[in-house]
Amino acid sequence: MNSLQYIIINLALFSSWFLFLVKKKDALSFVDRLIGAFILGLAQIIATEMLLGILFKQLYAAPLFILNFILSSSVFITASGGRNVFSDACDEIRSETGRIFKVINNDRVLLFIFGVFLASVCWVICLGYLFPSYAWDALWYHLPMVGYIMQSGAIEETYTPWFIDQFINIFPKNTELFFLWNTIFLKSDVIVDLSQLLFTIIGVVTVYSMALKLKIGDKYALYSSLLFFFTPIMILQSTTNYVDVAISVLFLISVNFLISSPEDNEGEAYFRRWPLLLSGIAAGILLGSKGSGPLFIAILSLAILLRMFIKRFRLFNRLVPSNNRNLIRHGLISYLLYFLFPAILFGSYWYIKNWLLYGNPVYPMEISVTGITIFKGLYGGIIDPSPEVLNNLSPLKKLIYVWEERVKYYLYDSRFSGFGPIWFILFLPAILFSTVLTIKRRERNYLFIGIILILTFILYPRNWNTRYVIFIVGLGALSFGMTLEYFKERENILKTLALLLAAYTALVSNSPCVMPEKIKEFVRLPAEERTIARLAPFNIDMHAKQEYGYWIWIRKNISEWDTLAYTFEPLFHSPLWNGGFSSRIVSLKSDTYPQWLKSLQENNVTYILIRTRSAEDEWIEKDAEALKSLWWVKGTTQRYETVYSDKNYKIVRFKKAEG
Amino acid sequence: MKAEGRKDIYFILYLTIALILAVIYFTVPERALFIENQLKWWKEMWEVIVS
Repeated sequence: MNSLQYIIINLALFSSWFLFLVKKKDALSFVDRLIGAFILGLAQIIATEMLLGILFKQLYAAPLFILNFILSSSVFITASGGRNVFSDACDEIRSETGRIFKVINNDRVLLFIFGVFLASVCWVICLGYLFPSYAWDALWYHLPMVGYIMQSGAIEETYTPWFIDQFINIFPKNTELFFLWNTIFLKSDVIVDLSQLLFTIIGVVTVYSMALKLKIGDKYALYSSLLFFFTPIMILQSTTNYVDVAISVLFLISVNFLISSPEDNEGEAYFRRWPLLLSGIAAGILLGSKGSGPLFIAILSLAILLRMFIKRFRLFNRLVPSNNRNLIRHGLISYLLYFLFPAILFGSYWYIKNWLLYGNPVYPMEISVTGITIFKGLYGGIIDPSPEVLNNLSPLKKLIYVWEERVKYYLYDSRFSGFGPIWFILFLPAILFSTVLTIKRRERNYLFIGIILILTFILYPRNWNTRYVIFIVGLGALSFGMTLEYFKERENILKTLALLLAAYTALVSNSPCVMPEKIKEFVRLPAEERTIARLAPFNIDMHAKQEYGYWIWIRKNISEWDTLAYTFEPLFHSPLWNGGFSSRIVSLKSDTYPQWLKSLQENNVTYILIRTRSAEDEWIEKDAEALKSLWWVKGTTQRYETVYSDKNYKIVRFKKAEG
Repeated sequence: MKAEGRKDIYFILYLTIALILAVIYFTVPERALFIENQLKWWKEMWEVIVS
């Protein structure tokens, strides 16, 4: 039933927006409408969750389903408009996929690359389904954000006794709202770690769309898009609850909608309305996904305005109706209305909230310019220090060092690898080559994309860290498609090289956190036993070993309406919830026993997680001893019952009725 | 020089750069260990599949 609900709402949501966009055929290509449907669907998910979570504090499965079903039905009715759009859309999907498969079928190397791509995607889905989310930050704050929202039905600040909780509060949460979407209907976290895979696939489609707009032939555009996938950091992050793939793909989508199609009329308005609107919405979702969002918005805005001024300058020399030249009417107002407004609408909430609550939109990061503090925070720059080996290298050498990938294995958040050999060997020289070629040919679209992506790459703090700048691989992929087409008479060597490197990347992008023995073990386990503690991934194992016992117990025994109180700073919050985030957790620490007992009762606590030999442990023992001495009084029963204990931790069942 | 002749030179230039980068990439000291680890992973995977 839960799965059915999830499938129905997703089908309704994305198909209705696709049908809606069928009407915009003149402004959006088929591929752009697919991407557009994804962006509008995602925007609807975020908007409805924010509406229910912030305004009504009713962010639960039923109201979310009903609201989205009503909205999607309205979109569908608007889209159908008396005509049979459904059969139109089906025909178009059939003919477009048929055309693409024909292109793939006609090129054996492309067919092999496509085969490796499909196999890799299936493998990623299999791993994501089989294993729980095991990445550090996912357990630390990305998933706890989902947990706290689900337990309260509200998007609000959580009580924060410890530093890491600050991140749970201050981090922009658009992508986490998508994680929540993939949990709330299923009442399970089994596929939440595959959320970023959708972005990866949309990223592949986006690169294809961009390549077509650069007038790269269909076949070569497919090479570009499929090779973009073979970026190890993307493959590995596709099974984690991080936000890096989402950020880069949203950025590429936003740029994609800013590029004019080859069919666009030169004399037309500065930007077409629908592509600009979709670009703005994608940028807005990006803005609300990570603190670095404003940088992307600033660069995109600069690019839009610059392009308008350049076009304005060119239009002066052409026979274009003067109406279309009006920079204020057709340019700036369009920018404000169709780009900046949706960007602010979908992304600014988190910054405004932080500003109001903490006096700083990007709290806890301090913002200062030339020594003058503009927004006070807890620290300046990035909190974790950069690796020692990179410290003494120049910016270029840092990049080369990381791109050479001097590592023993790939990891989802590796600071010394992630782009893989295709980037270093084929894409890098292709970028140089394509830049020279397009300058010579005066191909503005490529230069436009190149300037935006390279400028963002240069300005991004710590751009040597591959996971922050995955979007630059998109430029490499486009450049390679262009290079391949340029050398089409001699393409076989390059195609074979691409295939070999793609196959190599697919084979070596294995995470050491998921070893074959574990795959064998997990295939045989029932879903509820496929837990993080069973996996014991090496990335957290050293720190988390002593936590596994109570994590397993919680997963097995805490049910939907239970409330677990914890009394110390846990390593991760995420394993304190049950598998579907349908239980509640609450941090309860007091100076005195009566105060603590009162808060346990007020919070309807059913279980308490304590450290052995802690103050709470002593209180519980004293309480038990006191009750023992009253053995002769009829009706006295123990308030606490230890249900789990190990060397370091205890879980105690709390019986409120006897309190 | 004819356009095709120029294209040949560009092609050789592109391939040469790609080849140099490939040599750099695959000869960093850590690569042997990286490939060894991956071979170990696949060997273990193979044992899992056949067992």
